[in-house]
Amino acid sequence: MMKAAVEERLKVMGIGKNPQNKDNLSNVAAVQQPEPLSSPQPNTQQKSVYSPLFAETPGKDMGPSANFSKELDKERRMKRNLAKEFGTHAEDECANVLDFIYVSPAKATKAEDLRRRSTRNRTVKDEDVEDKKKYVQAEAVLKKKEKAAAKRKAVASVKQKQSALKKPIEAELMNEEQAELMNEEKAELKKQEDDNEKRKNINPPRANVKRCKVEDSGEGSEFAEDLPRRSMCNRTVKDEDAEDKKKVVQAEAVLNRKEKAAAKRKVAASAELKNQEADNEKRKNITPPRANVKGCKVDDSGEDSELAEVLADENEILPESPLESQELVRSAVVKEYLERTVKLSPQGFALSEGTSRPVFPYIGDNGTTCMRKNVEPSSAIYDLLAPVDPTLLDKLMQHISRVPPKPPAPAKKRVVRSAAHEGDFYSILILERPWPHSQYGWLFDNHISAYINVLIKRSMRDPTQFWTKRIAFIDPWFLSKWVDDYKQFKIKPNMMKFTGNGYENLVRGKLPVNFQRNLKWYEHVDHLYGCLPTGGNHWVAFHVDLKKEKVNCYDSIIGVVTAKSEKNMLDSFKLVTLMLPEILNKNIPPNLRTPSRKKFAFRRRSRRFTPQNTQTDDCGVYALKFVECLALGVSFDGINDENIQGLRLKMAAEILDEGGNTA
Amino acid sequence: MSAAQEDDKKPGDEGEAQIILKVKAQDRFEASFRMKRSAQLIKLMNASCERFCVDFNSFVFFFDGCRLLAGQTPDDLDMKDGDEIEAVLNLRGGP
Repeated sequence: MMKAAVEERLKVMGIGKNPQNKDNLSNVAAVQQPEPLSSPQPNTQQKSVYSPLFAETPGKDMGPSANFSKELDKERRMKRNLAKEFGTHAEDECANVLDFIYVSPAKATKAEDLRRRSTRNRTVKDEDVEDKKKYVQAEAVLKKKEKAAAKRKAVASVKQKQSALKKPIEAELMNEEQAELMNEEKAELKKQEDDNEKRKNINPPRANVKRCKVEDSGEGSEFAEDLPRRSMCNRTVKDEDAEDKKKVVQAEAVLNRKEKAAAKRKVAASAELKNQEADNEKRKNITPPRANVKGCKVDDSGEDSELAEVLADENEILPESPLESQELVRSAVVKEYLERTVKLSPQGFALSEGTSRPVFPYIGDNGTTCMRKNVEPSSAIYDLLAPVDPTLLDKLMQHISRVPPKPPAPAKKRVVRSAAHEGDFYSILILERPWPHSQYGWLFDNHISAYINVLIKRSMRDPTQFWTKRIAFIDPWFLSKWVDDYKQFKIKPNMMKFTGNGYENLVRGKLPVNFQRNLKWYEHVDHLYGCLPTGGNHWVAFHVDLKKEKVNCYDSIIGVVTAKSEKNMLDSFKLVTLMLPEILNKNIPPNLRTPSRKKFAFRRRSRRFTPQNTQTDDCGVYALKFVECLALGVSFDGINDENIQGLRLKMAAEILDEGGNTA
Repeated sequence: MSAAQEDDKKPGDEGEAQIILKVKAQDRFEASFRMKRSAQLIKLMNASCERFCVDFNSFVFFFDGCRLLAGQTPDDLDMKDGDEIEAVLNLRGGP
């Protein structure tokens, strides 16, 4: 159990070392939690823990020299405080608890060495019976829990604590033993120092803080005087000995501390965790809250500054390229989202045909999927939110790196933004915000066309990956011609001819020319999907149900719905609703469709059914993903601003993989 | 409707088969160009963009409903004399 718990802890901590550090400092509040646990529990083992021997030892050394020490301390503390800024205020509240903590380390039940020392320390505490009691109680609770394992949670937490504690203890040991390395003056150089430290530690728990302060200050002053000397000596020694060692040890110590901190945070229930924290940390934590604590801080200052340095070093090492980590985070977000939302369908549909991912988007009951409530998803359906295939990503990056740079634009001409250049094509698609200018990431029709082509290619596979074979994607290039034709159609509908100028090919599935599916509308196709530019600069997805003669528009940025906005959207779709019947009349045999000039019904799906692109500028991506979702027959869940960069990246990788930018 | 209708001035080589293509933009502007059948259509695209005073890349060209690519030639597409090519302003979405 213990080992397992420890391992878990380690894993958890391994994920985010940096944050933990911060948390350690900042989340002192978490430390408070253990208190309630310990207090209510009976104090069985008081005697065993505390021995009266120590009573005399306490703070004799500490003298009135506090002032001097204070001054010295201030300077050093400055650094320390910087590092621990956050911890300090939180600790005010926890001052009592922290005192507690002090004592508890002494208990350090698991570490025998610690116990030795701690026992001495505790004797001092015996005087303060109440404080002791609390500690004893806590310990007793721990032991009880360990032995009895009565309360699961308590036990678990305790065990975790213990496990976590072991390491901390080791860390403490290391600190003490390797204090020379660490520049911790107190610990290793002289055992006396250790004792003093302990006394200090012990003192804080006492009720009358003032006394403690005085004592501490006395020590502090001594230390303060000694510190420069010792530290210098130590450091020189260390330098001579092994700088490398130092670093390693420091790093280890830091790690251990982090681990402890993490353990504390998570366990949060037990006071013991605090005990095992490094003495330094405790001191730090404890001291800040107190008003007069300056004396106490003296000891720490040296260590702390060093710690701060260590931390800084680690921080320098840890952050790798921010881009990668962000990508990792993003993919993790996407993955997490998937795991949360994508479930195996209750009927247990299995992915039989060699798709790598054995998960299956559950067809829910929300608006988009309602339309296909009775449709069984294709067996080859894929997960459109799956993280980017790393190999595809590599391919993409290599491809981009191989793209020759764009020739400089002629000076005279106005620079036109376009995605014609291969490099531009991909950088517009995948460049992460912030963009060079606010509209940089807008998708061109090149992108729309390229991705629609990807979808068309997929629709040609067998078995189809989409919810039915009877679908067709409208070539975006042709759509722009269609849009253009509508201007003429608007003026003189009867003059418009729909044969011999491409519409025939469209209806026969011969467009786009490079991916001809040859599926004739009505005969083989009932559903049309496409992305339509509206309002001059806004992509929306649409779905045409040929049989029901309905047009659905999926708008990623609906904005304020007014009569005017609705009318604008309706007008943008008139080319479909009005022209489509004409096109069909001319090109579809009457036996398949009875000629009718009745216009198609149009509706814009409300925002309840369409995820909104609140940060704007991504409407092209949204529209394409809507089309994909509609064709797959899955809901739009997971398409949101949070995932948009991942979706863009994935889109770019897939476009390259499935044929690239053909424009 | 047709404001400008001009023939390309270039005489071209007599030795090679030539074709006259009409480019129609937005139902308003038309221009005819003569070019070699084996020449890439990019020349025609550039010329029409210049003629219509628009930036290159802001037009998309269609022939018979198919988008024309810069590398294609009239031969590829079996174009005939007087065939009409449609130029449509490039569309772009954003927000």
